[in-house]
Amino acid sequence: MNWKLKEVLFMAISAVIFGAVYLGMVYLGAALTGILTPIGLGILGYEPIYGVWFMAAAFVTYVVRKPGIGIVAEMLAALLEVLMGNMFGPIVFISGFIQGVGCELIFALTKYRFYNTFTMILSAIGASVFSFLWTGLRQAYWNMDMKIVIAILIIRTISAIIFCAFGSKALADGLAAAGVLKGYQISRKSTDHYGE
Amino acid sequence: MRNINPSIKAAVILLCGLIISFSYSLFWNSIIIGICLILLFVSGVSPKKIAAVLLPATLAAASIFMAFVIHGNGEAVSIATDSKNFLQVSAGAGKLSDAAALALRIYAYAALGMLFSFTTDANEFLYSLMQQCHLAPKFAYGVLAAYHLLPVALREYRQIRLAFEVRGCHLAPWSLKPAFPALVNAMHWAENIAMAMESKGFDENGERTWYLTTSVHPADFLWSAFMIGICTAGIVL
Repeated sequence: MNWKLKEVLFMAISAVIFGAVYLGMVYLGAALTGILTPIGLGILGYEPIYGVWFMAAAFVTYVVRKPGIGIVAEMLAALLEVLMGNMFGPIVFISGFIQGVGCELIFALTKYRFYNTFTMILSAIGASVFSFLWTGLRQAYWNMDMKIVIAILIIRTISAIIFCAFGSKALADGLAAAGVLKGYQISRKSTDHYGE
Repeated sequence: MRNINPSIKAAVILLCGLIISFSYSLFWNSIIIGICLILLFVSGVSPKKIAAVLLPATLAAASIFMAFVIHGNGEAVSIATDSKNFLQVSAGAGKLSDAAALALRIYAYAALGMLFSFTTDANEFLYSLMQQCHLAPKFAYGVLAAYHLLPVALREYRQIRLAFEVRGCHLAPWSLKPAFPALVNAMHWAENIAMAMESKGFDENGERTWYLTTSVHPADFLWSAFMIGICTAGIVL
């Protein structure tokens, strides 16, 4: 955990901002759920925007590029979401951990060397699958119609790829182009580690 | 509730949340919800705040309930069918209570969450994490700084929106255009705060003295045992 103070603060500020966004998304998801409930598809209400909840991990990992920082960012965003009043309560803290691990898995497997669209997509899929297993365990998906369960997985994965892989990457690249991420790994062209 | 050590409160509520993930008891989940609500009222949380959380929770609970009633596996609930087959009716009833248990659990999560978030001060929580759980001050103060920046970030966002309006760009309320400059500024702040902390002599590894001291009392353990006991009862009994 040789994170610099600057990186910790970057992670914290990102987590705070994403935490606020996450909370807004909870209400948006609740509204969608309300619309879909009468036809029995209310359980899909959160799925189209589910990818937003993985963004903190993907964004911070993509910028700082150090092991573990995405998991901590995601957990922190979840914690702040709870402090601001998330209706799902402290359990989202554990969800945050699981989503963070799912997101980070592919970077760990590639030894934290490749940060491109392809690994970002794989990381989004990882987060989606991990969180699917977790919500499945909590909401007893095995008691449900298989078609609905598969629909949940597919919609969630597509959403994860859109928001988390393309969204987070575009955001980070945009900020890097604006010149505010100079001190972080993302703005370093060479991949060597001299001077660290 | 406000006097319970925040770290212990967080750990216990997290544990309770995990335990009730495996509990399908309607009775015990209702008891948990009741206890949480009573504790909330006793600690003087305004009912308005509670209602604001329970409203979306109701939607989520209703959605899960409907999903199970309509898409649960097996036959659809058919209590009113002409076949008065006992098995079929009781299977339907079993599924209904399953669906109700899952829906009720959403409320239990919400109640536990409120019990933590509405009775805990963020500063106290982080101080307690540093003192009781030995969290590195680097993280605690970093998070604290970021947390207190949130209102500033929101004000910044509103100002940027106004700046767009002044120039005659009318934005839809959901437009993301002003979010980007606000983010750029937030990233600047992250660097500036880090620099300010270091130039003020913030030492990551040095001994610290505390502005707020938090401690653990016997009452904390009593409360923990009580909450965990109630949640475990839902599985065991």
